[in-house]
Amino acid sequence: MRRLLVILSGLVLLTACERDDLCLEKPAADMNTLFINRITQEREAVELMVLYGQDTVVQQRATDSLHIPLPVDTSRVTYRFIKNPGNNSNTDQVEISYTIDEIFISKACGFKTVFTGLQMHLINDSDNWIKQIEIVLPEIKTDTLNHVKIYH
Amino acid sequence: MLKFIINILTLLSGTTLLFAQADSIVSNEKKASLGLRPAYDIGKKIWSRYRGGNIDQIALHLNYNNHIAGIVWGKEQMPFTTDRYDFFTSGSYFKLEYAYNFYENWPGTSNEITLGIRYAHATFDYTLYRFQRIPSVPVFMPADETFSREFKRLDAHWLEITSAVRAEIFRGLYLELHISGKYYLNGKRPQNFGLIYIPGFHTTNVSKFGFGLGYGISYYLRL
Repeated sequence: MRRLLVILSGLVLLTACERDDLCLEKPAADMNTLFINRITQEREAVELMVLYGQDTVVQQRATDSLHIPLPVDTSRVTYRFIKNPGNNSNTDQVEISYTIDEIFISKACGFKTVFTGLQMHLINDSDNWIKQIEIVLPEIKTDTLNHVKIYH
Repeated sequence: MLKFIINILTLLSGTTLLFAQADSIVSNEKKASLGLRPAYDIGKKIWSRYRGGNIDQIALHLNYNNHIAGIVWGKEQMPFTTDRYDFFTSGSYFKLEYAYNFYENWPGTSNEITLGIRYAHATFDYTLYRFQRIPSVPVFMPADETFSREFKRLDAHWLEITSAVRAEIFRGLYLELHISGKYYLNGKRPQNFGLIYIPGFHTTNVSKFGFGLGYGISYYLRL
């Protein structure tokens, strides 16, 4: 009994197995943007590139509905929305500001970054392809809802 | 894999002890035996120190014939660090236990193989001091937030099924090994944070179940 216990003691020194949890949730919410023809009031696709700074491509698609990611280390950015980036391109600049907040998801995921108090300001130039920006939902928390409508 | 082999060996060793009783002479005398067993948990102390924290756990058991009633007290300070967040737990717990000893002792010995149940309650605070913000695309940089966010007066209640083996190593002093399955009941959870670590229960899981192995020493005082 005694010797057995000594052996067992050595074994129990090691901890029990811990399961490695996986995180399947996105770490930050994206700004869901619809592109709408101002005249027809219908969704209409645009060939689009969104740039941050000089040349950081944030998104590039031909679509009428886009998930636009936001940075988590600053609460104010200027994005360049380029229509028809290949030929006959038109660039509009938009100032975007928001408050960075977080929601706890799980032990494996930690916190998901969310954005609240969204504000957008279109910089006027001689030829804006963006006619109006409407903020539908200033709280960017989930992927399923639309936050912004851009009329062109 | 190694941990799996060890767990299997521990289980097999425990059952070997039970079979060893087949050879012992059962005494015909049945005297009421009464004893007190204070115990100190070494396993948790080493495990916690290794992780930069500290757990002090003591227990007191009252034996009457083969019935055991016990109280366990513990105090913990434990850090919990991951890539995505770091926090610190500080708190205490107590457990009430009833167990039955299945081992037939020769007169004069008080070795035990027990099976028992416990009710446990812990009260604790968390201090969250770092978490990482990760952007949804790799084009942006992650950012660390460091500050001190406190979650105070949290608590938890749970049940345990425990099994212990206690063997005398020399005069009155025993080495004990325990294994337990835990089931979380309820308690006050932190707001916008997770109930990730509970003193006495240790790391929690998505399910309400937990599992633990431990060892310590005790002294048996015959009354």
